[in-house]
Amino acid sequence: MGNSISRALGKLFGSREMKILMLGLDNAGKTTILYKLKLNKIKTSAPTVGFNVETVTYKNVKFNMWDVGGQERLRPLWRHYFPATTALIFVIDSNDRERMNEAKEELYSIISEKEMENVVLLVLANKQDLKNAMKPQEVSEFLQLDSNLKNQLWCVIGSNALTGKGLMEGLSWISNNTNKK
Amino acid sequence: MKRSSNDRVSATRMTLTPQTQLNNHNYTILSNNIDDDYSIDHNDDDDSPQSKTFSDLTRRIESITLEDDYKNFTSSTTNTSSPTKKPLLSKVKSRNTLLIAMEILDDSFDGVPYKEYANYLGKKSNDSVLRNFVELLKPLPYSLLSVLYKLSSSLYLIAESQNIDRILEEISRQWIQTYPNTVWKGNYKICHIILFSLLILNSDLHNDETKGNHHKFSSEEFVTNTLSAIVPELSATNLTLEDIRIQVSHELLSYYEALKHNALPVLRLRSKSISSSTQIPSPSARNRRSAQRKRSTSYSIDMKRTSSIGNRSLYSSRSNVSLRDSDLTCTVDWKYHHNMALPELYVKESFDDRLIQENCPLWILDSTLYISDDSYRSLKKIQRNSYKNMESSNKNFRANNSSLISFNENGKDERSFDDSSLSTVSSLSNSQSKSSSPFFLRWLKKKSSKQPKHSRYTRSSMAFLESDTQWLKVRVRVNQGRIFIFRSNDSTVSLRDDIENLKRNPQTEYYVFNLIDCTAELLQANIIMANQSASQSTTNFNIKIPLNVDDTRVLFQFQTVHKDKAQGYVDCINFWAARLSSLPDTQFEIVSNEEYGWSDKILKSQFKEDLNSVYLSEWKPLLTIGIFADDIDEMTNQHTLKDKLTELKEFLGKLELVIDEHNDMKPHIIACWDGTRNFDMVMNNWNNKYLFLNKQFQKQTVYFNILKTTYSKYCVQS
Repeated sequence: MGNSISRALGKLFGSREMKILMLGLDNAGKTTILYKLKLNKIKTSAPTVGFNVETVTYKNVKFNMWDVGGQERLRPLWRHYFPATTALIFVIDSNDRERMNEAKEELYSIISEKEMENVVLLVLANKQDLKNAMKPQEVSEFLQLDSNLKNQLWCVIGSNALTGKGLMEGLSWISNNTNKK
Repeated sequence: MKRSSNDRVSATRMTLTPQTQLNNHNYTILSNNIDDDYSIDHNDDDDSPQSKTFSDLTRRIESITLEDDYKNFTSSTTNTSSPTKKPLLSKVKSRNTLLIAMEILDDSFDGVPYKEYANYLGKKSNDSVLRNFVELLKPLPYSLLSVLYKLSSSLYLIAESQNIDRILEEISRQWIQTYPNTVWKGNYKICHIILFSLLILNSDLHNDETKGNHHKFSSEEFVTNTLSAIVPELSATNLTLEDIRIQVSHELLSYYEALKHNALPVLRLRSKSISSSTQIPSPSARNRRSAQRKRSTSYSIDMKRTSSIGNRSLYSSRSNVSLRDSDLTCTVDWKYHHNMALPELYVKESFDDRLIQENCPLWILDSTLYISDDSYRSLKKIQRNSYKNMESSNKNFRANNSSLISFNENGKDERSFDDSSLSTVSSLSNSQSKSSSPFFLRWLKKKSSKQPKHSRYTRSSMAFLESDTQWLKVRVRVNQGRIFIFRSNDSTVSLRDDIENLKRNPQTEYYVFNLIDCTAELLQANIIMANQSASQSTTNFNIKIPLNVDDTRVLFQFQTVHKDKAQGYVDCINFWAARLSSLPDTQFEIVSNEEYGWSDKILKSQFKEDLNSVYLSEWKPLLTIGIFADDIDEMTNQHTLKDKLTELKEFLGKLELVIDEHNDMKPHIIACWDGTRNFDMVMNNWNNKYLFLNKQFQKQTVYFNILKTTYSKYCVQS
C-alpha cells in the first residue's frame, strides 16, 4: 500500500496484477471492507459511476477488487468479464444466522461456475466484533467447504471490517497462495 | 430534519377522496422544500410561487399515487376487519415514499448522506421509494445509455452492486412500460442486463482503480459478452439471437463508443445539501438559491442537475459525511509536520489525565539521548519516502506542501549530519569520524543500487558493538502512544526548548511514529561482554517498528548514559505498544484446506503411499493491519486497560497450548514424512510456524508483563 520500498521491490521482481471479485449478500460488509483496505491511500481521482472498485497494492501485487454481484440473470455478464479472476473473496455476515443458508447457496452457485474452477476462495467471516457472530470454524462447518470443494484452495478468516482485523491477513493469504500460478 | 422553519411549507392539508368508500380524510404532510422540488415542474415568472407549487404538488401526488392507494385500499379491505384505518396508513406511507423520492432527487433527503442515496433506494424495503423515484425521472429516454446518463446525473450512483441491481431493474421495468414495442418485446429483463453491462463497462473504461496493466474491454468483447448474457432471456421471449443480432450489435457498439468518450457523470452535491447536513443555511443564501432556481427555465430534471455539477470543488464535496472521507488519511508524521490534530490512539481512562499531570514516567517521557547514525538515516529515509508517496499520489496537497518540500531539501544530503557541528558521542575520534563518511556513501550506494531487498537501513541490530557507529544527540518524547524524535542541526539550539519553538526552528528535524505493534528491548540485558564492567558508561536499547509492508521491521537504536534511563524508555514504549496493539488472534482462528503437512488427514490416515502427490502449501504468517501503524487513524485496540489485560492473559494461555500442540506433532510429522520427497518442505513449514509462535509468545509476554505491573502500580486506586 504505497510504500516505496515495496514499489522498488515490485519493479525488481516484477509485479502481478490480480483481478479479485468481492461477492456476498447485501449488507455483508463488502463496501466497508473495500474502503478499509485503502486506509492509507489518498484518493484524489474523481469517483466513477457504478460499482465499487478498489485497487490495493500489497508487496508487488496489485489487487483489483470489484464488487459486482446482483441477481442470477446478471451473472453471465460479470462471469465472462472475469475469466481471469485469481481470487474470489466471499464476504459473510457472521452475525446474520438467518441468511446464512442464502449466503451458502449464493456461494456455491458462484463457485461452481466453470470460470471459477481455478480461483482461490477466501471467505471472510465478517462482523466478528458482534457477540452472536459465528466463529470462522462454525462458518466453515456450515458451508461444508471441506467436503464440497475439491479443486479450489479455500480459507475462512474471521474479520472485522470496522477495525480492519482479518483483512490484511486475508490479502496476504491470497498472495501467499497464488504465487506459483 | 435540520431546516429552518421559514423555508418550510408547513402542515400542508390536503383533501383526498372518494374513490374509496371512506369519508373524506384529511392528510397532513409535512413537506419541506416544496418550492425547490417543484420549481422544476413549472414555470418561472410566477408571482406567488408558493401557492402554485403547492397546488402542483397536490396534483402530482394524486396523479402518481391514487392508483396505488386504491390498490392498497382494496387489498386491505379484503384482508382486514378494520378497513377504515389501514388504507389511511398505506396512503400516508405511499405519500411519504413519494416525498422521500422527491427529496432524494433534490439532494435534500436527510435520512442518509447523499452518497448513500443509491444504496438507500436499492434496499428491498424501500422499493416503493424507488418506484416513485424512477417515476420522477420520466420521461425516460429511448436510448438505454441515455437512461443511465440521466440516472447518474440525478443520483450519486456509486453503490453496492445489489443495490445498483435493484435500481436498474426498476428502471428497466418502467422503461419497458414506456416503450413496449421495441425489439425486446416487453421483456424488461433484457434491458436490465444491458443497463448492468453498460455500468460495468463504465467502471472498466473510466475507473482509475482499474488503470495500469489492466486490459480494458474492447468494443467486440463488450458486444459479445452482452449478447451472450441476454441469450437465456431471449428464448424466454421467443426470440433468437439471430433475430436481433445485427440491430442490437449496432446499438451496443454505438453505446460503447459514446461511453468511451464520455464517462457517466458523477453527481456532485450541491451547496444546499452540504449545509443542510452540517448547519442550517442562512436565509439569504436560500433566497439566492431559489432566485437562481426561478430564473432557470429548464423543465428537465437532469439538465438542472448537470448544471450544478461543475460548481463543487473536490474538497467541499468531501465535507459530507461519508466513508470516502477516510481517503484523506496520511501518516501521523505528515500530520504532525502540518500541525494537524493527531487522532487518539487509545481509550482514555480516568487515570490518564492524572498520571500525565504527575509526569508518570510510563505515561510521559521526554529527555535527550543518542540515536545511532544508521537509525537516524532510516528515520529520514522513511519520512522522505512516505512524503514522496503522499505527494505523488495526491497532487492536491502540493499547494500546502511548501514547508515539506523545503524540509526535503534540507534532508537531501544523506551525510549532512556528519558535517554538522552537533556533538556526537562516539567511540571514534573526530578525525576518524570524518574519514568514515566515504564509507557511508559506499554503503548507501551499494545497498540501494544492488540489493534493494536488504535496504533495511541498518547494518546490524548491535550498532553499539560496531566501532564506527556514531551517536547523535536527539530529544525523544514518548507520549500518548507516539514517539517524537527531535534533532537540531544547530548546536546553539537547546533541544530542551519548548516543543513548539523547536518545531518552528528551521534547523530542527523531527519525526513521529505510532507505537502500535512496536517492541523495545534493552540490549545489555541479553549481551554480556567479556570486558564489560559495572562501570560501563552507556546502555543501549532498540525499538522495532513495523513500518514496511513486507513486514521487515525497522530498527531504531538508541544509547543513553544511564541504565535507568534506557530502562525507562523501554518500559514506557512497551507499555504504550501493549496498550495500543490489537491481538494477532485472527491468525489462530483460520480454517482452511491448505496442507502444510500436518493435517489430520495426513497424520492419521491412509495417505501413506500417496504423500508425493499431496499439494503442499508453504506456511507463512499472515500480516495484520498493524503494519499500517503510521496511517492508522483510529484505535485498533478498543479495550480498556483492564480488559486488554484479561484478553492478553487468555491469549497467552491459548498460545501456550498451540505451542505445545505444535511440539507434540513433530515426532508424528517426522514419522510420516521421513524419506519422502517433501520432507524438507514439511519440516520448514513446521519450523516457520514454530518460530512465529515463539516470537508472538515472547512479544505478547512482554506486553502482558508491562501492562500488569503498570496497571497494579498506577491504575488501581487504593
